Amino acid sequence: MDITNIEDEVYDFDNIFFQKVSSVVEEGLDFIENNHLIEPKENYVMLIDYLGTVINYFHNLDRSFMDSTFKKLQSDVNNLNGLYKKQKDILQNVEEIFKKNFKKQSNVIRVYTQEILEYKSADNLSNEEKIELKILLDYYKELDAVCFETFKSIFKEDCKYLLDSLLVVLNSKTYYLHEMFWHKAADSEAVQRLFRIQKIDGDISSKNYITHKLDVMLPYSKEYQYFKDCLRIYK
Amino acid sequence: MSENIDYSVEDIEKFLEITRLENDKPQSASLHKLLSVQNKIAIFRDIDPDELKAIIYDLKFVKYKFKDYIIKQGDISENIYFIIQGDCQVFSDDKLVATLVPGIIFGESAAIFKTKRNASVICASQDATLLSFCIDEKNVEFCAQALFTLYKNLASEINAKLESSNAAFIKK
Repeated sequence: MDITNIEDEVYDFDNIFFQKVSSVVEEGLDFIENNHLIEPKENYVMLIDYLGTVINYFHNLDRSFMDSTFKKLQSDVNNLNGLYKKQKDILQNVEEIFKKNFKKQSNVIRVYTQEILEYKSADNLSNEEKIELKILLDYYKELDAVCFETFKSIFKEDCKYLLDSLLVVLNSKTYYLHEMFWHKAADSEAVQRLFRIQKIDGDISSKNYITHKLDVMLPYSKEYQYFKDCLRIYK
Repeated sequence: MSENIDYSVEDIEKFLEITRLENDKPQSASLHKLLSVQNKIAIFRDIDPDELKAIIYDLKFVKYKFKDYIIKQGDISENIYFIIQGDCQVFSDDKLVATLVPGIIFGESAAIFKTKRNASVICASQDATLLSFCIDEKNVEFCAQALFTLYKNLASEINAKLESSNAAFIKK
């Protein structure tokens, strides 16, 4: 079976299916490259949940906390994170996408489906036609399996590439969000007061804040483990 | 969605300021020391320094005195140790089983397999300097290559230890 046509169809499908995420990735990578931004090797994406909570908390203490750049960046990170999670889900549901999306628009599959339908809708098939239909159904089964394997291989590779690139963009922007946030926190009188009242040791930093949280938290809870993992980023 | 975020020149200046601050930030003393001796430590061979920084945490250069416990049998901890200076002795159920010298790594098996310490390690010289660290195996998304190389190097170390104990056993 010649799979060139199927491969071409999958590439065309992917171009449309991933159009949006692809343009976000391209734009994000260009932004990093053009501005020589840092691409950390530490996993800052892991901090997103913690950052969201602490940003809200400090914002409630000090309303002057967020400037327009910070708001833009926070919204950017949230959107990228949503897109990243969606892309991860897509990678887990390849078979469903094949059945629901790809098969409907594949010409290769459509030709055979149509032919089968024509046979099936006809009244009184002759014995010869019944044999032809059987051959066709067997071939369709084989074609479906080949199509799926071809689709899975190309689609997964494209999806994984975009997922990895998206992660690079998301991680870099989360790093900048984290840094901008803690620089602002260090300058905020309300946050300085909070650190004094809660007797948090050392300067105003994420590391000291998390260390303090761990000190007052119930050990071995899920949240405790999460904060312990977050702490690994700070050297 | 993200493509709608339009950063102005002023916004970008704030990004660049963060980059400048990061580049000017002094490296922690332990990290600086580690990177300067990276090539001398077999398990860190062939690892990109930026990735090495990202896959290890709780990095400390620790000094011990004679008879200080470094590891206690039955304890749970994920630290791996590398002897820089001084000697250490390994005791299993209070029986001396090995003497460790500079350049040797220990504690890796409990760290990798998340098991209790299977022996105690005590400082056997007047003093000893050890490099202690943990591996952040969760950072696989950003440092898969570095983690692969590190585990490969650790496997070589474990293999060398097994070969040497086999040789000692045959000699007996």
